[in-house]
Amino acid sequence: MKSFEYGDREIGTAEVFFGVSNMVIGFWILTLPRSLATITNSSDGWMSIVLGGGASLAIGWLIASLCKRFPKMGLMEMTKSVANRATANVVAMLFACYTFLFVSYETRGLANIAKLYLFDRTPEEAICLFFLLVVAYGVAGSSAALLRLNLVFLPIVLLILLLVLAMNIPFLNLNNLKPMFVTDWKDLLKGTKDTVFSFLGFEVILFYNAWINRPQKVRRAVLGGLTIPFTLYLLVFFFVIGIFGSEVTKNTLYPTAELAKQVEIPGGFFERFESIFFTIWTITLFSTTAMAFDVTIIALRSLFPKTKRITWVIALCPIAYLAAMQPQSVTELDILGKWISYAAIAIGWGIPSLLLGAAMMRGVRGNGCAS
Amino acid sequence: MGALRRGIAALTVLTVISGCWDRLEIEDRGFVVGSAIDQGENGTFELTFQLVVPSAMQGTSAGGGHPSAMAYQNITSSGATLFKAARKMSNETSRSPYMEHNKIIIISEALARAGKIQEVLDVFIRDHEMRRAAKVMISAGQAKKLLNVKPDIETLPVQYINSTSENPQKSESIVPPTTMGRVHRFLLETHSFAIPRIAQTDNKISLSGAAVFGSDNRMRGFLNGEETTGKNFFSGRVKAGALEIELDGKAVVYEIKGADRTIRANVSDPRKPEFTVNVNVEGNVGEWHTDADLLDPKVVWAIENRVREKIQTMMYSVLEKLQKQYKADAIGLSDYLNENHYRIWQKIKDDWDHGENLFSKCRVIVRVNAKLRIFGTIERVQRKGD
Amino acid sequence: MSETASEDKRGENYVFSDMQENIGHIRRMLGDPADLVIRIISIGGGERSCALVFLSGLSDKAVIDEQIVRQILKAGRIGQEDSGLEISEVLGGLRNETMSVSQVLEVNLWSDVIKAVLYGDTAMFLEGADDALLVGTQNWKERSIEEPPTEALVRGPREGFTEKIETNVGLIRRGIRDMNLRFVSYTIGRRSRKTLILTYIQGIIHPGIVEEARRRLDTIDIDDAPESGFIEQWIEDSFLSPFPQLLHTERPDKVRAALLQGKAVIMLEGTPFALILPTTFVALIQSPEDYYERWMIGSLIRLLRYFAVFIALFLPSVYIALVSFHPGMIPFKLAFSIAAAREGVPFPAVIEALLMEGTLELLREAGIRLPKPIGQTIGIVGGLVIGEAAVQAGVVSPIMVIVVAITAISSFAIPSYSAGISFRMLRFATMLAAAALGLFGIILTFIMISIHLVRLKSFGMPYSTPVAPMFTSDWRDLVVRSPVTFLTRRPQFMQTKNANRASKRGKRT
Repeated sequence: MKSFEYGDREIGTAEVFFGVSNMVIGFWILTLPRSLATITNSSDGWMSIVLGGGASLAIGWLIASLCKRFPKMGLMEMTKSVANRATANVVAMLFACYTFLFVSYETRGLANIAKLYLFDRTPEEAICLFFLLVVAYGVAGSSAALLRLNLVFLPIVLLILLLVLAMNIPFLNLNNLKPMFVTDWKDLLKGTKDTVFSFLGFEVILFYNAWINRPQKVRRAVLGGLTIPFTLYLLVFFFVIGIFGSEVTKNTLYPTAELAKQVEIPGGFFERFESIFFTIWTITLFSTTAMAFDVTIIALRSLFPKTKRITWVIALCPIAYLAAMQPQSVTELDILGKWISYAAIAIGWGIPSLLLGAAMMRGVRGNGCAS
Repeated sequence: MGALRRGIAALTVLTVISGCWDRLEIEDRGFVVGSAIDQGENGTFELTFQLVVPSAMQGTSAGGGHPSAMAYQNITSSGATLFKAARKMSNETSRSPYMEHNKIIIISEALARAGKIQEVLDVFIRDHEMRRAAKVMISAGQAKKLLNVKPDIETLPVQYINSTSENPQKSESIVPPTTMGRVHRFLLETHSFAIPRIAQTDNKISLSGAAVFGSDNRMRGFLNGEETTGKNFFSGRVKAGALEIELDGKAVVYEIKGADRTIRANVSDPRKPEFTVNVNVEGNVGEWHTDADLLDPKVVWAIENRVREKIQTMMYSVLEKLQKQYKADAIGLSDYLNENHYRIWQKIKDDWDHGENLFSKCRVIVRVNAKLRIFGTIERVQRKGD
Repeated sequence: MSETASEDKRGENYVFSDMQENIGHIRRMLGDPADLVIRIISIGGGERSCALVFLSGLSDKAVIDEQIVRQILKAGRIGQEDSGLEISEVLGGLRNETMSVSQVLEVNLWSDVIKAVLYGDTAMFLEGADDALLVGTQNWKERSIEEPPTEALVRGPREGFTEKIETNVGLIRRGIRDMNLRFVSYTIGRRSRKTLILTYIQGIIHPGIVEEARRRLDTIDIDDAPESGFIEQWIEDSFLSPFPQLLHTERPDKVRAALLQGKAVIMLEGTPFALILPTTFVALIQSPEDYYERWMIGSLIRLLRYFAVFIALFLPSVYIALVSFHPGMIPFKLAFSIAAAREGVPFPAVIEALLMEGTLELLREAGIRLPKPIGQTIGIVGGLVIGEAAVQAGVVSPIMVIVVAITAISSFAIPSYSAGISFRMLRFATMLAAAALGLFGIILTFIMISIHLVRLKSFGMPYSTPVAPMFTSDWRDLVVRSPVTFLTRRPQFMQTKNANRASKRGKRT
């Protein structure tokens, strides 16, 4: 790997790996145990996670194959070479809309959680505003730098998460995991849907493909990146059920956060670990949001190449802010999240699959330098 | 870029100057370290908070300050809901109550017997300021009196209670502290449970004993110290303790160093399951008033037998009480069925300790296996044959 | 030769053949200053004479007296008009036989002559010759080589750069006796005409860095660069960044290590501070001593420094956030004692912190200004007295004093002085953020600093290398400093031409 020519026009394998992980780990890790515990019995949710994770890995493989087939090309160029310009424009527009909504959703989600656990009187409006400003600052630079940021952030996030889990080991009661295999397969499939939602987001790699410097390694990077959230989800789920039992998990809004809440740091150096947990949480949500915003801008710039990046940032920020302020309650936000997830499956997973299929039928390949 | 930076800077300055919604300096908060809930008149709740007076706390430890002042202040307020009662307190004290350091929640026996424990705890679990590690206890008698105990060593009554409740390491008759998180779980799951009991005698508190709750979350009654020991053996939660037994009419103390228990169930007849509870106890001699020869295997066997009998008696007595009097399975048999015989449990769970009450009819066999490992650093202090 | 003929088409002036005319000319050019010494001597006591011109403060009188004047007086035959020698042969004789000075140049341009005289060389005009001799007699009163006070080490060489660039070049040469060591010199300053030297090792350094450095150095056009800080600010990548993008050092060993890692170094005449480029964030926290001590000690000390960076940046803001926003995070007994200590303090924690931090910065600044013996006393006594008095008066709480003191100590534990200042600066930003939004504010500032670090570059190299972009093989010298036998390769991120710097233990060939 080179560092000087590296500059802002190239994305390495490690960045793809960490970027995919960080994009996927987001809001859902907080709520996934609850939704799974509600749908499935006892600790059987893990099967849903495995199923959902497997599905995501398959799609990840598919998307990576598409990237590999069209090295050094963004989604826009891929679509152009498979179909035509008009289709490419529509695809870019769809992606821009979906990722943009995602930005608002994440922003608001963060504000809600921050308000619940960190603040009492600070209005959501202010929390969102400051968060969005930082996101805007992050997006104002180059995409490569933004992806590089994941290399700094993901280890911190993983470290804190694993620390929370490790400190919870004394509370772990394996009997809570019993009985096993007592859930109907229909419920398991329903749970799989929720898991799949929580794996969404990695399709943004399609846009970054234009700068990936080693296309032959993209598949390994994407799949590797997906295994991190996969293992993390499994671990977190087992811990949550093993500690709280199925009943409590069902009735707790953010069970993963409650894990952090009950930790007592040995030596009493700090109390209330969940505050630390949430500050760390802000970091992942930041990465996810900033990358989604970045993709929005990349997509829009491929439609309007003359507009400068910073113009888009300044123009879109107020809209994102206003959109984030629209949901009036946690329930409404949940509904928004559901719809965004459906859109993500249709847009983020459906379109690439179609593209790959079409490309394979027509035998279209990218003409990049990769073998 | 430049404009953006300037904008961010300007906004930051603006917030620093104008905003800071949540800023409340540490000395302006009223730290609640413990709370007690009693039944008020006409079905209202009477909420008592113990607030810390930090300057007085400092005074006693550092010598300066106001050593004569009380380190704490108890405020009581009542209302139809606890939230309202808590808010009312803000009107009466200069420092609004701040719950994050709340260590202990004491609920009065009357409320618990009335089945109001879930109503009481709802606000405590819901509020984000509360932590799941707060300990829940049931008071014998009025709860708020307990916050007025004058501790000799500690500065705060709550500290006294809190530290005492950490003692199951040394005593077998205290139910291990039950945190709010656990109680939350008990309340959600339909089975019976036990919560530590706290009682007051003069200026002392006693934590031995437990309050037993039925599956309808109503308190059925208390267990005394011995019965609690038995219950602890059932739940496998005995870590340490001392048993007094008699050998040749003289007292011997058997110090428990560890215990575990396994449950087996015969569910061939789902309506009448049969349980076998195996308890393995290990320990050594803590005190020795006889002159028997400890190196004699027969003596060791004798001791082990006594211990076995003693534990068995205790366990059967608590079983008797739970099955016949309280009709509440607070010893975790239902958990065992749920975890290991899921399908059968699904069939009988509605008739376990309510409805038909299969629990009170089921047969439980207790097998105890006691081991004497070592007997201290000396063999005896009396001359042989004295 | 007439005066008009001495000017060529480019407007350059040539040395006259008439000695008196030359003397007159140089007097006119320099404005006949008091320190201009002109000595006319006859060669070997013969008829021919020559003039020595030099500036008394810049030149070495001993050399001039012993090696030039005395030798010329003893020169003998070449001084005689009837020796039958051409005037150029006389000049050659003087240059090659008479003067026992190593550095003698023959020039005919006035600009060269003036420049040399201003540098402290001696110009010699021979009657009748149209060339002048420039004799190297520069002697600037120089500080001796001593340990740099700003970068003292417990273990390590006790030498530091001086203001004289030749000495500094020598110091580097002395440690790297490699023929590939390159010194490219520039003259910086329209009026100051100072020498600037770019040093690197050909064959190790990536050519791109040299190219970029030369490109940037070529753009420098100022009257004077009194210190290498001017150069640093002229050629750095981003002037908006709080972080130094070139590392400055007074230590030759640090420079040599950097050269061997494939970095380039810029040295400027008149300052002992050399600039190392490119620089990464990690390099700010490393000290040569990490390598001189055994690896476990080195690694632990380095770890401690990372910790110090964290404290220097965030401790006061965490204090503010905890005290004003999240007292629940403080263990309860500590919370009560903080509350009790703050009981009488009239200000919110932010103001308290800003007050104390401000006072401390003032003390630090005053400590530098004051005469050395008083400075230290004021620093310590001032800190103690003001802290104590502020607590007594109830203006600040004792915990605050502890926090401020720990922060100050930590910021001085960072080896790079300018990085220490950067962190102190950012500390105030985090404090304000904490005052506005508590922990959330702190984390937002942390994110912003990270974004900035990842985006920042030093001579085209990302500042956050080797973490992002990731070079795992360089991590053995990141937080943990692996045993030297493991550090067999030069940093991968420098893309050196020659990657090996040691052979693995036991594989010596």
